[in-house]
Amino acid sequence: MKNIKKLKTIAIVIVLCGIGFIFYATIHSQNLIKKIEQQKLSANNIDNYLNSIPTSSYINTEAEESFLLPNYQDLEDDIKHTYYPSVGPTMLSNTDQWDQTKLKALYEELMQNQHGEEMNSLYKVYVHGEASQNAAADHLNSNEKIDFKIVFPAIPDSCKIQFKQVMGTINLYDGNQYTTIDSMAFVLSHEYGHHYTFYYMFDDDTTALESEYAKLRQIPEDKVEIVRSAIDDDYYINNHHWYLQEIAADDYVQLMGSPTAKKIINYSDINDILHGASSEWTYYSINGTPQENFLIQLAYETEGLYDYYYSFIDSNLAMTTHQKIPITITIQRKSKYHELINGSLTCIYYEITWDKVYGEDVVYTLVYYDPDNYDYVMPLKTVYSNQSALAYIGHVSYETSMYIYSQNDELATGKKTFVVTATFPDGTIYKSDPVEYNFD
Amino acid sequence: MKRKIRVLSLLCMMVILCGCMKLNVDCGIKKDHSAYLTYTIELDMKELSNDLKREVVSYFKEFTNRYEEYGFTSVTKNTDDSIDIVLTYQKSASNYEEAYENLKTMLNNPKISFLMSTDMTTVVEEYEQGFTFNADIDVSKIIETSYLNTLPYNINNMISDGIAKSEINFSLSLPQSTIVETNGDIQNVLGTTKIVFPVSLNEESSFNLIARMSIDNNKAVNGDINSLTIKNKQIISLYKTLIIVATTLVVVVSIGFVYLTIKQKKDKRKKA
Repeated sequence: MKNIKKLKTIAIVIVLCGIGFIFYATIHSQNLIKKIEQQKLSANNIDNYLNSIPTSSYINTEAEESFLLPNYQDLEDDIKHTYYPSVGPTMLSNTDQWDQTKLKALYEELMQNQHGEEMNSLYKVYVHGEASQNAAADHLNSNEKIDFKIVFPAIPDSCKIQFKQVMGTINLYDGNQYTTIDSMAFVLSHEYGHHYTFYYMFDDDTTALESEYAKLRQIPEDKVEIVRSAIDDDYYINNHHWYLQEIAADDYVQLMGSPTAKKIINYSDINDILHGASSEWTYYSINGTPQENFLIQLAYETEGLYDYYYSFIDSNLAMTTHQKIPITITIQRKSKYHELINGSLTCIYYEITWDKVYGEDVVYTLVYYDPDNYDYVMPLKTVYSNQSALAYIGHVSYETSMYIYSQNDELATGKKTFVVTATFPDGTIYKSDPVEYNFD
Repeated sequence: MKRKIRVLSLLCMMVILCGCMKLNVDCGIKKDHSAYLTYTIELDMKELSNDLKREVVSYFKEFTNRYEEYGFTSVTKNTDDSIDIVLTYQKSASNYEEAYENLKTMLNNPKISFLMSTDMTTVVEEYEQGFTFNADIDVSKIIETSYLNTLPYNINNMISDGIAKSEINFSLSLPQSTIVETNGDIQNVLGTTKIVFPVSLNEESSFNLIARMSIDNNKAVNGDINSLTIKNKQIISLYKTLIIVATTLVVVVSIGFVYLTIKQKKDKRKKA
């Protein structure tokens, strides 16, 4: 009996639980069915939403504007034009005479000068419109602080990285007067010569005297200058041609200068001018002023110098050796008498002749300087292959049936030393021995 | 006609080699409805000169300071050879829709975002949320307009080399979601769906993503809505089976109960 009671109790519990579960499961199933319907609805709505390609566009206009901002660089206030090449120095000018197009051309001219890795440390070439009191140009090596900054709205404006490097700057002056590449090429090449020689050859101190360059150049020890006086500008200017760095820069132009820097200038003497020769006068030229100091050998005449200059860079240029031959210069005093309506005119002039010892392909240029107070060399006359090796100074003249024409260059006074340079087609330049003449 | 020259001693050229940077831009929504934007910067400075290391450290210090002013928290680990910086901006919300709007606000803020354009939308239904995300970033343009060519050649080279060796990734994370379409790499880790977009340094990079996320009671749930529906149907089917079993059991037990009651009465009569 007891067992039956127990079984009945268990049966009641099971039945109640079963009914409870059936009730729960039914309710829950109903809920799940509803949930499934709602999930389907949600899914459909999301499908429709995603298929409709919704948009909510935002454009970062601040960033777009930042892309249009002028480039970041702390330029001097008066810079008007710039050219930024991918390799080499930044080209700048403060004059409209040197706009971006011309700066680009000047950059291309610079790159025509023989160069190597040292070009990477040339920071700027700056063409100044105005002239400088003391210089046609200068080269300066200085510790530059160069800022790199990314201009973007999400990068704070104050974030910048400063690079400190010794960098060279070339300043070219008088850009309003010298407005062509041709007129700047020689000076540019000379200044780049400073950059090149300081990079590879010596520092601006007395150790330069022990450099390989100084040994090759053999400048007289009692003449050579190294360190510029900080207080005596006049001494520096008066002895400029004896500064080792200037001689080295001149050597660079002769040995490694660009074709434009080494362009031959046609100098006309007083007789050419009297007969209407057009004036192409430019002071600096490879044939007239290959180097400032004519009291020493030219670069090509100095043994080992060519190879030494080219030893720092990769270059396929090979030096052609020309045998040096003495050039004999002859100076003859002459006069020409002219009868005038009221009296007469006697013109005293000098014919300077020399031998074309190197043949007709070579261009000869007569130059002179003051032997007692050497300061600079002055070109007088260029002679090409089809011309006689003859130059005039003094008072020259000629007559027509109606008129007498005369012109005096006032050069036939005092003492002068004459030298003839010979410029070969391959760029080699030699000079004759000097000939001194006293006109008084 | 004289040329003037002012020359300082030409010191040895400072040799500065490049360092490379790894930048990860992570953004997204967490399961708890918070939106976040994190910049992780790792800079290898082993090859930098000491001067340049100082400059770089100062650069990132300035960068971090400014971002802290914008509400970012920062963690900086600085050694002699490296800098690791983590900058995080986080904003909580009460639901995913609001979280997505917060994320949108972060990515559309030009002061803290490098994106050039965005197109972000969301819709919330009871059991599912849809997201669309399109964005562009143009690192090449940023580099181009930083005017490297105005710098000296060797510095330009050094920075360009550093940039070339650098790596930038952009990633967007959502609570586990179904990715309908994307041009990024999908990674599912611990209930989070992360889409990683590599950023090109040479051209504009575009990111796109269409995602949907199942939700229940305002919380993300694992699985897409179809699998959840199937799962529910399976539960219903199971319930049906169990109801039949339970009904059968109730009937059988009830019969047994009736049988026992009758038997008990018969036994009582016999005894009586």
